[in-house]
Amino acid sequence: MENLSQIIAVAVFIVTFFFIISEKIHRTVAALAGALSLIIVKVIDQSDAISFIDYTTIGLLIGMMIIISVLKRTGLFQYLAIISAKMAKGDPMKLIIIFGVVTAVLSAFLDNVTTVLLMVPVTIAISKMLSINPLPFVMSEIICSNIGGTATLVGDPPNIMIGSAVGIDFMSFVVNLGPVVLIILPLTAIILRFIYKKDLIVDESVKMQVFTLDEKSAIVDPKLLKQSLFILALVVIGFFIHGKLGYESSVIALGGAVLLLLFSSNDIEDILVEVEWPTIFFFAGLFIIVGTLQEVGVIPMLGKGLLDLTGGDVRTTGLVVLWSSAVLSAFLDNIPFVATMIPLIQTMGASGMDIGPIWWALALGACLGGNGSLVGASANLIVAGMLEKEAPEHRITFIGFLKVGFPLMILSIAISTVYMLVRYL
Amino acid sequence: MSDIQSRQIMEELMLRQLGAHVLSRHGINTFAKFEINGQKISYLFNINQNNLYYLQRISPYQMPLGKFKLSTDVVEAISNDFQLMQNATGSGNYEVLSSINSSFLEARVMLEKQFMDYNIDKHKLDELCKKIDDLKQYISSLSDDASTIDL
Repeated sequence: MENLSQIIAVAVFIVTFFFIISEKIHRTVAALAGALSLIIVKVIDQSDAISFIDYTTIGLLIGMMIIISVLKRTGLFQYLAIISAKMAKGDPMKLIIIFGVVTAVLSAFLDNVTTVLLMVPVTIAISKMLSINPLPFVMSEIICSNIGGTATLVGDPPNIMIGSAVGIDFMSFVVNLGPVVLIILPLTAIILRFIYKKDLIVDESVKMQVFTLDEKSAIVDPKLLKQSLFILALVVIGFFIHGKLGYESSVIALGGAVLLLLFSSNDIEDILVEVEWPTIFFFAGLFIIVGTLQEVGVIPMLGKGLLDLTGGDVRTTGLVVLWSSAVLSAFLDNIPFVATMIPLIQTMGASGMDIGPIWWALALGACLGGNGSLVGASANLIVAGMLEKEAPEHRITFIGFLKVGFPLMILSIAISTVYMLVRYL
Repeated sequence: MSDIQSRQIMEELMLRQLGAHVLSRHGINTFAKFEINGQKISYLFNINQNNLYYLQRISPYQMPLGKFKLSTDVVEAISNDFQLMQNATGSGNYEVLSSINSSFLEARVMLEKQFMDYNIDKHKLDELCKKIDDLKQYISSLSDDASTIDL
């Protein structure tokens, strides 16, 4: 009976994964259908299914989505983009660095996917107004956001999942991943400037046009902006000390969200409709499927297999996890991969292996891998679609992105390898 | 965040830089489509910023039909207009009516373009107003000696 449950669970996982990768049906529908089928054929019961859902991850995602939904209404991102452009005095050579760094910093504290989707349209609009090629800035923002998001617990969904499952707090992420991100980020920004230098040389008259932009008109609701920034500061401080306070990160995020909803005069339905419910349900379905694999013993078997393969050597395991998660994340959705790896690594830990460094390897690989190709992160594809419509002469192709993103991703993983070897392995 | 929401951010920024006061809100656009006598009759309504339903006929030609407070009033307005259109499309003169309405729309566009591109003499505009008043009188007289339509 146990074997039959395992076979069904694996079959459901493979079929679900196939539909997620092939996009023949929406990934949320695939995940929910997979989860429901496991309940219907009684591999697991309903209460098991509910217990497999990681509510800390879900709560953190919802909380941050609400915070961003309110922040977006203040005009903050448009304001930051115009200020950045003026700080650079319209010089594209400086702009590519500033836009990348601003996006990276925002991505560390707000979800990196949403940060990119907020910054890129503004960048395209400013580029249109200045009549310059938006591609270098958009590429800088996409790539730097993935790097920035790697540094913290809340910056990228894989980190949220790892932090919640393993009980790693915000400060631990910053202390362990912050240093390597601080090395990779400036190096990447400089290389991007070198790659696109021909597109970054413009006339002085073009540069001066940046001063025709009015950052004040970008602020829609100054009162809400001040309130939002204050609450966001509280949330960030809360993230730094949530471990010491004894609260889950989701409590901090949802607390900030509730405060913002209290102060915002916007209709709550208008705010909540912008929460990415398909993403939330996707996570829920995925947690049920992977939880089932754990429950029926498939993941413990895989964990044992991986231990046998690596001989239980932390260094080998760490490097295998780092590189395989990076390459896989470049071409596949990293969330199901991370969801599967978490219990696998936990199983290896239960056998006595020191898995502390393995978590950092997984986080680095899964997050930085998103830079490897156009399909490496969902934001990449939306941005490519936007450029196709708004600036078709500068659109991003799969090969075009690969030529820039993949080598940069390999470089970031190489730097991460050295970092892992020096610090942990 | 969806592609539409991302593009909305871009649109709002560009409009605000032009000096516009921009208000975006979530809403539902409802299209009601009919087909009678081979003719497509379509309506569109949504809720405007004053919480009123704004109704317009969009096919066979554009025609604003008013603002309404209640959804039942919108449905009634569509029903009444549709009955009238149903009657009109059955008429032998419908194609002419359609062509005349399209010409009116074309004329409005032409007038605006002339006004925007040139310093039009006031006397010519006054003359145009007089011709339009004459045209309106003529349109009013179309129903003289014509029988009423019973719906």
